[in-house]
Amino acid sequence: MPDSPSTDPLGQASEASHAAALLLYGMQFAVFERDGPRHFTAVSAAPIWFERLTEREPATDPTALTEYFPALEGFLPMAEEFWQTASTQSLQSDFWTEADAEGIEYHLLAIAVTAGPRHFLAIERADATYINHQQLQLYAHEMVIQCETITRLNREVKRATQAKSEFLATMSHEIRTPLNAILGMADLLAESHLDADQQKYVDVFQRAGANLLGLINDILDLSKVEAGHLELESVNFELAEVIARVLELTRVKATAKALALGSSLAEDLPPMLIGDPPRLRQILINLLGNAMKFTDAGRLDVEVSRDPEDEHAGALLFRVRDTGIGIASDKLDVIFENFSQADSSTTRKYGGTGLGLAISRRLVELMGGRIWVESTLGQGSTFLFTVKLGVCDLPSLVAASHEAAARAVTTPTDLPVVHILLADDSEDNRFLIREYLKRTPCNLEFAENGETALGMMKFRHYDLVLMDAHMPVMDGYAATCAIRTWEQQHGGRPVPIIALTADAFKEAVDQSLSAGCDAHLTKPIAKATLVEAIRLHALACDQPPQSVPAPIAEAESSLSALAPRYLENMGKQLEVLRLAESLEDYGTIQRVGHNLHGTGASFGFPRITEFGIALEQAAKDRAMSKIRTAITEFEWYVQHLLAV
Amino acid sequence: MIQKKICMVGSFGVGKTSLVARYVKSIFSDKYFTTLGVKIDKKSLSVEGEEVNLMLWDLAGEDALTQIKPMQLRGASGYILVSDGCRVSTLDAAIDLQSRVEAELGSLPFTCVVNKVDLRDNWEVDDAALDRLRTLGWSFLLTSAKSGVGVEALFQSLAERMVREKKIDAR
Repeated sequence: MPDSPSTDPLGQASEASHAAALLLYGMQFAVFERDGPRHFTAVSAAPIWFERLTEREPATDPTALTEYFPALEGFLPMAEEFWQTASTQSLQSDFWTEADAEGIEYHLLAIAVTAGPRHFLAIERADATYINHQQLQLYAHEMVIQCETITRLNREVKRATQAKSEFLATMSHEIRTPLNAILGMADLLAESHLDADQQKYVDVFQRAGANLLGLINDILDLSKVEAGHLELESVNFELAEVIARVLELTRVKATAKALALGSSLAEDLPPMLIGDPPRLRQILINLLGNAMKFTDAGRLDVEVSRDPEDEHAGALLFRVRDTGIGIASDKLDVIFENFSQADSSTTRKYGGTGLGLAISRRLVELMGGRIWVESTLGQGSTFLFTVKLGVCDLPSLVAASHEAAARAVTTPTDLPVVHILLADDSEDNRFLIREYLKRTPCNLEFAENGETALGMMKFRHYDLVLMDAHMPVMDGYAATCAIRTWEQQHGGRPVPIIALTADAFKEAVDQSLSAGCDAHLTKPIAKATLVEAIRLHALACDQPPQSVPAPIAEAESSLSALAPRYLENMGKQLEVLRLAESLEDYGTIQRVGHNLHGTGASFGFPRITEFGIALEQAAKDRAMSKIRTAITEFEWYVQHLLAV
Repeated sequence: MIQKKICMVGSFGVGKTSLVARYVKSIFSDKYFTTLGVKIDKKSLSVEGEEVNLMLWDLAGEDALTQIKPMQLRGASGYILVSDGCRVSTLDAAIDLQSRVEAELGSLPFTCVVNKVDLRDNWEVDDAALDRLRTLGWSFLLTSAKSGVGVEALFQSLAERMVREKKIDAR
């Protein structure tokens, strides 16, 4: 504080008020009484900081204060209102900042108060409060900026993942197309007359091709999960059947390595569950395949029990136990990462890409569970995983594996005479399909693109169209749409169209179905699959007698003999129905219903015709609950028949 | 002498205070101090041979809790919408803010600024975003308080437009 102010600010002040003025000189407040609109008189000596600020420029009207402090323009109208009403004790302005002639900053606040009839205005130098508030706000802003950065990075990662997934989808198409030709030719070669050496070469050829296909499928699966494209099915299934099927697939290899294979299911498991059995099978096959790879002697076991840490009836704990080489304790976590194995040298010794466990982990997580491993080096490993599945109230319907029964062996020669149009731009694929059907009574014609196929359709009747999705000029989807439109305009019966694509993503299947295709085959297509699809779709369609009378009569007379096969094929119709139901694709449901309606009774199953009529009508009415009921009853009926 | 009030508005941290400091005092500091309330600076310049005294009201940046106070906008003859090229969200915020300021003050000359052009390599604001400003028919400038690019032109051109506006007189 200075020794004394240079002049007495209050002029005629008493000794006491002079002492007060001395004290106030260093204070934080400058206090004024409002004695008229925009007229303020100092009630005490002004503090030094106030003088520094008012010294900057002379004011024409010092009593108004706003010439010194323009920021008060924003506050005084509100203060006036406060003084008139005085509904609260005081009214405080926002901070404002002033700098004196030397550039030193002062952070100020104005406070309006009332004392009886008198009104006062104080201006406070509030640097400390300002800096506190500023600090708090800085933290808040830093957090917002970090949040924005994280959001931006997330967006970039998402974009990159999507780009990767699209790249993989494209690559899968590009790789699968030639692979289709390679595997198909290997199949054909294997059927021809070969000497022992040649047979061995073709075996290697086929096995290597199948491995490559498996690898591509793994990469696709992983990228689908990572890109969030993988959706789990929700269907009723029997756990015992899934385990039986998995063991059946693993047994050949286990026997070859002289390993014992066993399974045990706890007694309190629900017999019927709701979930995605193919994906559950995939996890178990991955884990068993892995166990087998690292086990040279002893046994492999699959055990299933209720998850002791989850009371829900559908919460299960799976154990896949082996007596193999085991895993070091510090590697127990890393093995579930992509492309990772416990020891990179094992890759050379045991092979594999390390994708199987990564896929399994993601599938398990999608099923609401977790996966981990317990192991002692040299004594074997136990892979454990939990899943949360739905529990189905329906009683167990199938005693024996009907899936095994459904995998009927088909021989090409028992196909009926069908006229098939194949639209495919790839000469290799046209050749392959021609070779596949060489020894069948099928009559095959070719189109090189969708436009040609459409033109041919208009002039000839075909019993079936095989439509490649990606073709120049007009692609398969556009051609299918055009064919369906043409059929509607000309009152023709819809010809069954089977889409052929190299794209394994669910979107591709959806796209074919919504374009109006009846089914979708993913390349590489095995000969048996193609023959089966031709049988199913060519027969499921009513064929107009005028086009090829003789063979059709022949086909009709053989219909009842085909009843068992027809029933087995209902499984595929069910899959289509389930998919169409989940997509609310009423067109497909109506078409399948129409097929069932037209074929069930002919094959000796009038009940299937009834389901067909119900589905057809419900799809027309867009009555989803009726559709669900009909599909469930249909499924029950078919499974029941198959079990007999 | 004509006196004109200009408000600096925009999201927090976009460089409103720094632009004023660069213009009025020719200084720049990398250290970020958030502004609370308002800080008023003055600067005179010459427009068509006439001296104009600019009152630059540097208003606290907007965030989730702080919004522009209509009272502080009153009496302005023009305003500057400041955004940060490194944060595209601040440009969206500026576009939103413009309609609120216009609702309060009516149609006044304003300039939109995309600041921090010295960091252009890190910008989130791309050509498409700038095209959007063109579509809106806005006059906008790319500036840097750090290097001084565009700062002088920003205030000079806005002052010229404000002087030409006959409707709003200086007090």
